[in-house]
Amino acid sequence: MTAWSSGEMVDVARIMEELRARVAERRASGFYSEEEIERIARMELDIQEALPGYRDDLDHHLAILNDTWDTKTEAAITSHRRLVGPLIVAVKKLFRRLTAPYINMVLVQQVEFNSALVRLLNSFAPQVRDHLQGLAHDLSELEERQASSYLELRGQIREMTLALERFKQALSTQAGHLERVRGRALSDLPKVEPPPGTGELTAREYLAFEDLHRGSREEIRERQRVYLSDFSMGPVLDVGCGRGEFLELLLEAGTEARGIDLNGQMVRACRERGLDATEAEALAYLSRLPDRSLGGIFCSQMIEHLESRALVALVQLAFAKLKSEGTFVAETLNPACLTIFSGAFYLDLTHIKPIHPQAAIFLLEAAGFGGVTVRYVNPYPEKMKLQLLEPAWAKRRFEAPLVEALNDMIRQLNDVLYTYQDYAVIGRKP
Amino acid sequence: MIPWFGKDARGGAESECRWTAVNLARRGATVEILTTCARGHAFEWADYYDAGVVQEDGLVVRRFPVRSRDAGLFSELNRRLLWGRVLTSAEEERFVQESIHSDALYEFIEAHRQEYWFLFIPYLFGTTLNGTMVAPERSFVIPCLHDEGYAYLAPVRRMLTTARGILFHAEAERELARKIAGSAGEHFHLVGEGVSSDISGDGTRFRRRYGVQEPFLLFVGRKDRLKNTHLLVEYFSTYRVSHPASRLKLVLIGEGRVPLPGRLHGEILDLGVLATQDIYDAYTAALVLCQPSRLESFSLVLMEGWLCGTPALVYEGCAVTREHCVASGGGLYFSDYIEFQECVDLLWTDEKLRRKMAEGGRRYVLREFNWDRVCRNYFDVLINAEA
Repeated sequence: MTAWSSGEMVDVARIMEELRARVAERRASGFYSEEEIERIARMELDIQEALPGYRDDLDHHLAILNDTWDTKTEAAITSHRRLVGPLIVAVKKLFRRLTAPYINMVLVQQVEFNSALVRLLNSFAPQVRDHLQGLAHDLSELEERQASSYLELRGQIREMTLALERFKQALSTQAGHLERVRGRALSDLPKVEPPPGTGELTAREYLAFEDLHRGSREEIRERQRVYLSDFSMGPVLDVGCGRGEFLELLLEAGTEARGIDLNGQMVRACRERGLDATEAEALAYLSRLPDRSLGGIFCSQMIEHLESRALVALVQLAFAKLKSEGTFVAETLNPACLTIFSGAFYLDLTHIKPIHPQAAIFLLEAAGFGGVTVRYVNPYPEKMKLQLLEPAWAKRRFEAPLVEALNDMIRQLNDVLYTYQDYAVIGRKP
Repeated sequence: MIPWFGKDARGGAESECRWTAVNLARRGATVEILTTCARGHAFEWADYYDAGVVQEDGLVVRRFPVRSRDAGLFSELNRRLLWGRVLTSAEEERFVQESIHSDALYEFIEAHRQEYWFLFIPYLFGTTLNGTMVAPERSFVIPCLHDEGYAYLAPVRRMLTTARGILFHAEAERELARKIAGSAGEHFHLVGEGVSSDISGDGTRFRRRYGVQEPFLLFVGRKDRLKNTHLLVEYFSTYRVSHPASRLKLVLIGEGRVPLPGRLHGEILDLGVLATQDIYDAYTAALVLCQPSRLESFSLVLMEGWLCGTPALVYEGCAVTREHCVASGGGLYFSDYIEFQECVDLLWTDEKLRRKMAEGGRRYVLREFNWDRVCRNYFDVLINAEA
């Protein structure tokens, strides 16, 4: 018995060898019954198998039932007391013999019932197991089919995307062609001059338009409040001051401010509120001011009303007229938000050209401004954006990747269609 | 560098991190703990502690804020991995990216790469998988590697091959890494894990306090399927049903729950989480410490059991625990129920064998895993890297 523990250390490998040989011997001699081995063999140390749990539990409980259904089996009567033990055992056995007939009257029926029930369960168990295995198999087949149809769908989407790309290219070629034809046709046309007294909007008409579409005074005040902190010193000139919302904000903040506007009606409306406003054209007005005389220049929704050359001139003049550390802020529509072209931009007949944020940065930097930044404002409300899709709960495993791919596209569309509607370019004179 | 550090961060790697740092510092190294503000594995992986520097156990602990993550997606991918499904490479990346991360921590590593050697523990968290990529030439990983689905993820393989060195607890763990990385691993070093030798138990105190008079098999650790606790309960139940005269009980200690067969009520005792000294007492009182887990990179429980004078019974399929048993002569192993039964019968009847095995195990722990030796292994690796 101690051969394997000779010396200091126990030879574990050798013990195991002997132990396994003994097991093999006992198996061969029928010490472990066939059913026992089969039942034990099913309890493999396999974690993957063990995870779902139902199989192990089923076999385990069934084994216990098969072990215990015969409630009539009598337990052996023993006693561990050395002297009085045999006497106690004899009395207990006598008592059992006297009571057994009456107890068995009840137990016989119970045992019959138990055995019928256990037989029924035993006959069901393999079917349930097979059925569960079949279901698992069906499920994995179904998964495979879903996976392949998912791949197919992905392929189709890819093809459609490519076709769209080709269509877009063809369209752009056609557009270039049309543009050239239109150019030629236009140059061939006689120049149309509107008759005197037509072709211009009156100031009153534009004020009414602005009241209708630009938003209430309160809304504009709230929207422009974000720029207050950009102006640390006066005087600030609001170019295109409109109804004077920002002039009011500046005065309330204690900063000296005055405004100019082309529209006499707007200027009158400002003066009625006690604001310092002048009817003037921006470039002419600015060029008359002494150099380095302004603390800040603010143009809200104004630069999109200018031709390119006029815009360049405005920025250059602004730079010349600002004091050192003076700020230039120009807010305009954001052309990187494509829906402005179905709304805000073309709604106003006097808009000439949208200005891209990168172009605006370039303009300011070219004029000499430092630390030029862009601030995006007026985001589309979330609920107006294209909404993301949710996979149906029951099919989420298969739909989730497809829905995620579609949602990526929706996010991309939201980024070009429903992003910030305006931006401001901000520069400081060094 | 560990994902979480503090009193609520329980587990093998967490405790190894703390004691390795303390012991290296005692032997003259300057050691700091880099970690996130998260509380622990069992809690939400979000900021719990304040970011900044504190002193704990005489160590400087630097905590960095956690990056926000998609916990839902992570759990879904984790569930699929646990069920043995294969992930696409994009999903594997997402699994890693939605694990725990700290950008401030990565910036710290980048900024101080020349000043530290970075030792990451354990392998399966974003902070380790991404952190080692920030300064791979200055990074070592103590992976605590198990043969599980996670170990075969591509980012794990990348980490094993890119880091400056990988430090292992046992030869079997290093073999597994070689298999996963598909390389001989010139930079794979065996350092072991330190075990405090000054522990002892009082079996009588345990029997009195918990009312267990009969001989018992002991399980210590988290009770779940990955640790094979369910199987131990099943085998023990079968053993008791087929040995009606046996008085042997099974005592379970640790977190988690395992379903117990009602028929053996009172024969299997689940004591839940106990104080450390009570666990040592339980080791001493036990007939055999049973460690059926197949996912161990070291198994501190086995070492503690030997130090407290108890032989072990482990699962043959776990190369690490089997290697410990063979090398120490401190335990037997089984691969199926019949072997389990034979091992229990043998240990039950042969007290002399039990005593010799426990002694062999104790000598093995004191020889191989004393802190002086383990720290010297660490210093050797780092000095070689410096040279």
